[in-house]
Amino acid sequence: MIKNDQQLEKAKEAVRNLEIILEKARKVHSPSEYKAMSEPILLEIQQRDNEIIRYLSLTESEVAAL
Amino acid sequence: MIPEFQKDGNLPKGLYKATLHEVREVFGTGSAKRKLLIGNLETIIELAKSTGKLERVIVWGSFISNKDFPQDIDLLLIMRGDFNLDANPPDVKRVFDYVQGRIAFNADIFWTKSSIGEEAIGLWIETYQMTRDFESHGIVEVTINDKE
Repeated sequence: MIKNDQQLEKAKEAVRNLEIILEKARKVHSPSEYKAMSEPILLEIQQRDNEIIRYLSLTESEVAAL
Repeated sequence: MIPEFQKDGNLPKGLYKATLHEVREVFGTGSAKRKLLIGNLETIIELAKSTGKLERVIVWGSFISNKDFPQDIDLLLIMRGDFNLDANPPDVKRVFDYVQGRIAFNADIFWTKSSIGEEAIGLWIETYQMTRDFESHGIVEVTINDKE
């Protein structure tokens, strides 16, 4: 769970890293291989994005109470 | 060589190379869950090796901590650039199918080809060294060509 802005930046960086991995992977895997290998990474991006959205939905006072 | 655990039960940040024998000695003993998971890891590696295209195996997550009951195994299989998934039999292909891998081996199996490039593999390792609590821990590369 993201608890502060520093962790938010780390979470965003992780999502960006995973997106770069997928961009590069799409160029070297066949379509069927890409569908298979991208699945856990897409799931990971979705989970991390959900955490980012949850954190950004909080007010300053709610963040301070974490 | 696998270093000592930190006080929090995790390996210090870094990439540590170890034979499958060392991994079994350090992480595959103790609880029944650990014995189950090391057996699963050995099967996964054996199946991936049977393709003749396995280059690297990288493991992270609770399995390489000192928890008695790790949740599962998280690993990345890096295959040679000429690996062709469709050319393999069903029992091998399930290793490369995320859902089947979870069901059959209680493992999150990530995989790619080395032709993705060192930069992407480096990003992969960097990203998964960081836990969901935003702490950086060590990860282990299982050397696959050493004699057991």
